[in-house]
Amino acid sequence: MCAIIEDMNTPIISIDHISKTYHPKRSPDVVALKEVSLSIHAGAFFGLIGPNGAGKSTLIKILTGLCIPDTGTVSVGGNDVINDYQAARQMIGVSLQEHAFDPYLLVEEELYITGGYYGKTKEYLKKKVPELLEQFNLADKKRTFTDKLSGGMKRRLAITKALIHAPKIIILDEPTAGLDVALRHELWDILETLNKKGITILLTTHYLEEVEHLCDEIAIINKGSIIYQGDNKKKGLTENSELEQLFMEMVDQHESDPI
Amino acid sequence: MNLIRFRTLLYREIIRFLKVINQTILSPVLSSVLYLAVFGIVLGGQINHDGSYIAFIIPGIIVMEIMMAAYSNTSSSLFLSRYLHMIDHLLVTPITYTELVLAYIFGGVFRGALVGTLIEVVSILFSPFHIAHGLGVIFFMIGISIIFSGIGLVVALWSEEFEDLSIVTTYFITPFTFLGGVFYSVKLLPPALLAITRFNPFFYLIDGFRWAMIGKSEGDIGISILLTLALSAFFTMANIYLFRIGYKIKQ
Repeated sequence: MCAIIEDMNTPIISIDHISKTYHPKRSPDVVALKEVSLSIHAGAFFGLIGPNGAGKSTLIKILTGLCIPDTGTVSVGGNDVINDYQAARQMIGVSLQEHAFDPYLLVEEELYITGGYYGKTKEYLKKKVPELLEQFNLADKKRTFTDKLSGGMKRRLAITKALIHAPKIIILDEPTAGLDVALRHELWDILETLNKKGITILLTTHYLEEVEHLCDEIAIINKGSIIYQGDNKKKGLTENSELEQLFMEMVDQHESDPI
Repeated sequence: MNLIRFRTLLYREIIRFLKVINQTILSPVLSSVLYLAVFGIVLGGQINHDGSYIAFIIPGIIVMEIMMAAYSNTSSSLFLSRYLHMIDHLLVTPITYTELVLAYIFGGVFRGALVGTLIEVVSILFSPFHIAHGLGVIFFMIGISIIFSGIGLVVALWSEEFEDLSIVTTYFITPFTFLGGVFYSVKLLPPALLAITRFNPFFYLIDGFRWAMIGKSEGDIGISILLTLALSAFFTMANIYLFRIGYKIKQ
């Protein structure tokens, strides 16, 4: 059954004591997440930051059903991501770090097919696809094969795909990685507009200025643990600090903590 | 079962192979014409066979190409999807594992049936025939396609490299098919080999289809029907289970 949360103060994403350890062949175990708990409220623009290998992508994969946690629960809009996965995934639009498009498909076909996976009707898509193509400046590329697009266009197409079913939440894993400054700012504008329309956004990125500019809430993850969660505008622990300073302080402090 | 989601993935599977029709459809049809020309016309006259040899091998060749078409469709599609990480973009959607497996399998069935039907039509030029059991042809064509589409999915999940896909074809599907009586009557085999052939499941699939097409059977048709049903159900359920536990597709 699909539970829908409309109250802005109720968490739309609840992550409760999630742990995950990978067991690679011929290598020692890798602890990716340790008892991670996190709440994200409806309408938030939430930034998840951390150094490489901190556990950001594992957390995103668990949220989207690509990774199964060892312990703990995750719910999206009140729907457990494992037991009520259909309802949970219907609420989420995802742009993964590695955007892979079907090389046999045209841009337009890719969007129609993605919409179909979310159970959207042809009538709905006939209206929505041109609208999104227009919004993301891809209208003139609709009959182009996806593998012929430039890097920036692929990023825009990935976000367009995430929005095809009008989700309440979008999850963006490193959406601006590899983009030039102009394209990055173009995407920032799009994301800000979406958030103003009430869409909850969870963003992971390496660019701290991106988080500082866009996000109203942040969490810092390091070595599989959330070491800070708070309001980006207040920036918590260190008075008058910039996000970069806070980030470095938190990570350094965590590195020196006895395990 | 959400029909839109199922139809969408099925549609993608079908347009995927139709966009490379030379490789996926026309190539096996041409191979069959060559088999029929060489084995049927050139060598067939030299072979002492009870009845028309070419009429005997047509059903065998059709089954062989159906098996390969269905297997290739699902194995290459899913493996490519894993290799290029496209599968992640499918798994984040609400499509259920049952919808997903059925769509992949029916994509393979469509390709298998298309290849089989085209070869059947072309083979009329070599030896006009009357189909003995029309419903039987449909049953075995679909059943065999389901089985080999299902095997293709299992192999695509298990494989680590593209080469692994051909290992199964080379060391499993091709020998079992050739030794299952595609080109010869098993009655010609010495008793020991005949006894071994009775344990080859491919023999019953080929024999069942031959019975449906030309009305001649060398085994027990009941076994052929039951085996087709059992293997179709087994591979479908096995794939749903493997997707559900995330075998090699989820961390």
